[in-house]
Amino acid sequence: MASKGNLTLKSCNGKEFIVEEKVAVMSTTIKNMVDVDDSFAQGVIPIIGVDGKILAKLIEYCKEHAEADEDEEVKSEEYLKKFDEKFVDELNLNDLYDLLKASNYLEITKLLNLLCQKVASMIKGKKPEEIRRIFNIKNDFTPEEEEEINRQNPWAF
Amino acid sequence: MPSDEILKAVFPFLEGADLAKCMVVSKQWREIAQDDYFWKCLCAKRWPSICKRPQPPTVTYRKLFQSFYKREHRRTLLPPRLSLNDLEFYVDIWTENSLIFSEVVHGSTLRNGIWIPPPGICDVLKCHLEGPEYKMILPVEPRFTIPLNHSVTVSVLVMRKDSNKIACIIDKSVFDYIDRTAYRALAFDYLDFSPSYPFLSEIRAWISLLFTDNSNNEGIIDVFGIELDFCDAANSEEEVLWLLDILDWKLGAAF
Repeated sequence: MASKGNLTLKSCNGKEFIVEEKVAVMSTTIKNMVDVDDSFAQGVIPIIGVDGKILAKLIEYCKEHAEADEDEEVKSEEYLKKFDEKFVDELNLNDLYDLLKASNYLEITKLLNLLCQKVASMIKGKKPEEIRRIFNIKNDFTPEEEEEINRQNPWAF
Repeated sequence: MPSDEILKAVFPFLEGADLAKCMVVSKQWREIAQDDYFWKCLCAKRWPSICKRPQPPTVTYRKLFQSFYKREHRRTLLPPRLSLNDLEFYVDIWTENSLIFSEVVHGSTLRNGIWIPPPGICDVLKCHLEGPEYKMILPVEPRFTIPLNHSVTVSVLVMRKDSNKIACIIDKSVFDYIDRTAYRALAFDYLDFSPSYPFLSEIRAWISLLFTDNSNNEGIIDVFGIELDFCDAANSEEEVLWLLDILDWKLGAAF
């Protein structure tokens, strides 16, 4: 049982995390649950489709930002920017995807924007061939289809 | 591989050129990137007011963005509607009041690059003739001579055989600039364009006589070629043909 002001979040593979309410409600989805039904605040909140590893990452991010929101002195904008950079740089591709999906589902807007920016920066200025390599995507167009697409899209290259 | 959900979240963060490239990555990416919602967002950043319309002003917002996101500085010309083979030039040259050159010249004989300059011409002229600028050259055989102190005038008409129409290219212009270092005498005239192009003007047709010194008489030059170009506006055969196409063509004889 979480003490007052704390919430318990449970990942899909059964891991429980006790977090301060101000950290948990960085997620709009969780905030809405707690606001609507007080019993959530007492019990365990299941986070569907998010495993322990990803949930731990989410909490790490929300903690830093919640604390910074509370006290700008301790964690300056500069500090947060550096934290964000390091945070996304350390993610491998699969974690990046999982975290992006989780922050989308949990509506953690700041983190979602950060992760989308990261993926967008991996696409920016790249040729289709390079994009396929970076994201490990198979080109499933036939040569004829590809030629047709290139013919329609000459402006992009 | 990024799921649909991820792509839908990320694509709003892309610029148009990158989003367009995403359309070529795979079928999944194409399917999502062609959602006009993303393109409407891009258009709304560039032209917010046009996005207030209930419907896109073009078939799709993608089309709108593609058409106007960048100005085309250099357009590729469509194939000209006219060919040199359809053209016949009428070149007449006078000194004072006597006709010294008068020929019907078929367009194909003016085609660039088929003529090799004769030996013995000066280097500056040779350089000019071999230069990359597009020019139409008519070899003059036999050569004719011109006394330097005479005023020399030229007229050029052109007929297009595809529609049997005639246009004026040069109307009694004087070769009043003689370039002694390049061995060229130049005349020009302003082209008359079809009334469909009322804002087009100031484009000239240039004609030059290519000459050598006369070995016997310093006051006389020997003309061995006539050059026609439209260097103000047209610098390739295609461009010249497009330029000629929009001249003020008048109905010729019905053959």
